[in-house]
Amino acid sequence: MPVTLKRRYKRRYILVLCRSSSEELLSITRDKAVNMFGYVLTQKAYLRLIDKIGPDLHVIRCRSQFLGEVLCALALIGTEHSAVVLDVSGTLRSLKARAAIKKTVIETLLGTSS
Amino acid sequence: MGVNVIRLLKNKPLASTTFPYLVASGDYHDLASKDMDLVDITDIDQQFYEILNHAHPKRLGLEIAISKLRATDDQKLARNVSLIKSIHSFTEKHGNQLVLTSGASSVFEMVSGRCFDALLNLCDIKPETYWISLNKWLEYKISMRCYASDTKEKIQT
Repeated sequence: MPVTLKRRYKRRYILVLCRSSSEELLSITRDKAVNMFGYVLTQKAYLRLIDKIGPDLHVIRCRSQFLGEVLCALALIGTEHSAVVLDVSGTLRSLKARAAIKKTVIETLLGTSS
Repeated sequence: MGVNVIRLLKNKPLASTTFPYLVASGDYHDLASKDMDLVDITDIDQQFYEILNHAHPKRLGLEIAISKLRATDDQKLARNVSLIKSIHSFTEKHGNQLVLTSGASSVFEMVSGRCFDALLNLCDIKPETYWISLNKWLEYKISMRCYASDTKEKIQT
């Protein structure tokens, strides 16, 4: 019988552009996911707040298996807290590297600088 | 002007244009109109299906904006998701096209490609087939028209 390592669940890091605070964004996303898919799935999705890059860029982590559901919840958040998914990555390092490029583009687009 | 920009006009221009365009309407009673390319659907009721059945529009785009889905409550959102599914099967049957748009009026309302794919999967629509059919529909609509050249040709005498 082949020996296999005990594998940890796969994660996805999501870069989100949102004007609300990180805590607010996470709670709104959770609420939306609960309303759309239920408490069990939202719990399994394992949504976590990881980092904040600049004033409007947030990094959220979820289980790879439930990425579709999390993206749906983020896309359908109410108009007052609307969030834009900019990037999805399997590692935080690559996401941060790409976020650095995106940050400058967004700052010029929005006319803000940190 | 960017090549990939397609303008949405309310009325069909009388003369040929230099830019690609689609004639769009916000009223689904315009489904029967031959000049119409795209109809924005806000409220779907039995009358909508009756008009679609009677009008038999060919290659018409039925637009659903995500910004309008965002504004609805969760119960209505679930109903709208099932309606998108039924509209998609209806459009496939009658040779029309479902057009899912962000309906964004600012940067913060935009929807990324990954989210579009996730929403399409939620509505039981295969993203690959949707994007291919949308591309074909757009190519058909744009290629159907005559465009005026924007470069002034020198007349040789």
